Amino acid sequence: MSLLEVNHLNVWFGRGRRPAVRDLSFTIEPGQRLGLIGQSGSGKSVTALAVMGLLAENAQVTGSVRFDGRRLLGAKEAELAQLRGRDLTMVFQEPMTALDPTMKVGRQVAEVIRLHEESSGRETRRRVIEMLDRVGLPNPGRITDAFPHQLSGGQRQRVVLAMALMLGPRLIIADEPTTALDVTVQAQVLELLDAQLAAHQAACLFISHDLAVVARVCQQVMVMLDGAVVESGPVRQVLSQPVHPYTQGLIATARLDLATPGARLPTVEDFYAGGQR
Amino acid sequence: MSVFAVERVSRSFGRRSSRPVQALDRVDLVIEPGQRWGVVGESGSGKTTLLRLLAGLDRPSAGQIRFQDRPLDLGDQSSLTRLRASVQLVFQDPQSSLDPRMRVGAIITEPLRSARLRRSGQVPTDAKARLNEVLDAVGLPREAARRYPHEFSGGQRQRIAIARALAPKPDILLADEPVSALDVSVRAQVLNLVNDLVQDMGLTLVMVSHDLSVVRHVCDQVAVLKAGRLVESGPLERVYQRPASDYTAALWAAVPRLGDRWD
Repeated sequence: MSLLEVNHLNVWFGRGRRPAVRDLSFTIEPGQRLGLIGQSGSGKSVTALAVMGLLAENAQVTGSVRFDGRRLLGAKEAELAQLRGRDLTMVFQEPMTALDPTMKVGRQVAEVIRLHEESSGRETRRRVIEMLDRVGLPNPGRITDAFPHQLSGGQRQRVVLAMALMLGPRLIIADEPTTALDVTVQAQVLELLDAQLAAHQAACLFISHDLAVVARVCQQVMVMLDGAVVESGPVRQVLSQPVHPYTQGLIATARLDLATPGARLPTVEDFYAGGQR
Repeated sequence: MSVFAVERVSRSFGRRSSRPVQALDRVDLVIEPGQRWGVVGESGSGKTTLLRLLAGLDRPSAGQIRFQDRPLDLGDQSSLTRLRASVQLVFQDPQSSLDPRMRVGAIITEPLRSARLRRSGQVPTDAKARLNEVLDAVGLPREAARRYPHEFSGGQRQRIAIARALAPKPDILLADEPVSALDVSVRAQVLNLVNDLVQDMGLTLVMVSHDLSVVRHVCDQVAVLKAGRLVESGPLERVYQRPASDYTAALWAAVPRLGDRWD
């Protein structure tokens, strides 16, 4: 049985507007890492929110989402709340908005434990510090007592990652987790995510507009365009033998390192005329 | 005549409780007309602080900046007018740098309505004609002028921001991470546009970026900053081929490349 099974998922916002996600089906096996790529507005984040049950109330959803055999779509909020943060966790793009600016970092990480388990104050603090240490934060004891604004962007994203990893999740949904970070910090956070996923044997749905980043973390990749998947398969195969012209365009634009400096860069439109946005 | 001469410039930001943060520490840099400079470094390395000083949005704590061979004095109206008439800025995030309540046409022509610039006599006076010229230049349809920023995608919004910067016919374009808020696939379009415009209009460019691969594509000179200090600077290809410091090499190595996994 697959860990996550999405079948014929459709999402609309409001009447008369084109669907944000159209007839989307995919599965993620335990420990598997699936990359979801596409331009802004292609439906990547809506897919993630639909799986987490975090879509806005005006969203209309049809189809089915099953996690470990349990129906998520249409499940009661209490049931979802039990899964979220424990078996199914999420890392957002912008760590400054994902963290509560008025709450010390340690308490925010501890909240994940308190919501799901009985744990004494001292034991909780020990586990928080241990996890902050594991995500590579220097001097974790000091970090627990810091507010988010006192940390750098990379440190904040490590804190968010610590919260996502705290209870040993089986699936982490990472929505552009390194897009707000500069390249050096991005490289460090990707390495950390890679190592932690391996250590926990956790599966991952990794969302990004950056093919190079997806290729760094995932084995499988799915290319989304205007709410539908146009191509999917092993990363190696999709990147070396892309079939859909849109995928070919994405790959060409991602290879800035191959371009002659100053020469005209290839764009998606050179390959796929409908890709104008 | 150099465009900018940055002479032992420092900028520190005070903190009441502890010692001040040294955002820039005795930086020297000379920018000649027509050069395309990339300023690179990690977050917090002082890139944006340097750009703000060049734009006249902030003043050094020590050292001085010469603009076209004359000391830049933000307290002196004529000095400031000379700077404002020839320098324009493009910011990182076109979502927040464009006023959501203004129509695109009004946003783009706003610099032309500046009393200071009009008095300097160096900006185009026919706003309508200039609006159409810059919309054409950045590849937006002329009817875009009647619409609002939220009706455009991120890449198109950055084109609007570039059109606004070009409207007063600047000689110098300063850009702070102009593509880092954009999708990789949209990045190529905007970089092509910047390259074309800088060449066609003979602009001097100073572009801040954390991504050396972006800088390498647009610039011919590079300045590498680390913790406020200038680590190295010079012709881009030399710094790229033979970086003098491990830090520069690390910045370059950190750029994710598709080829790493499957070539």
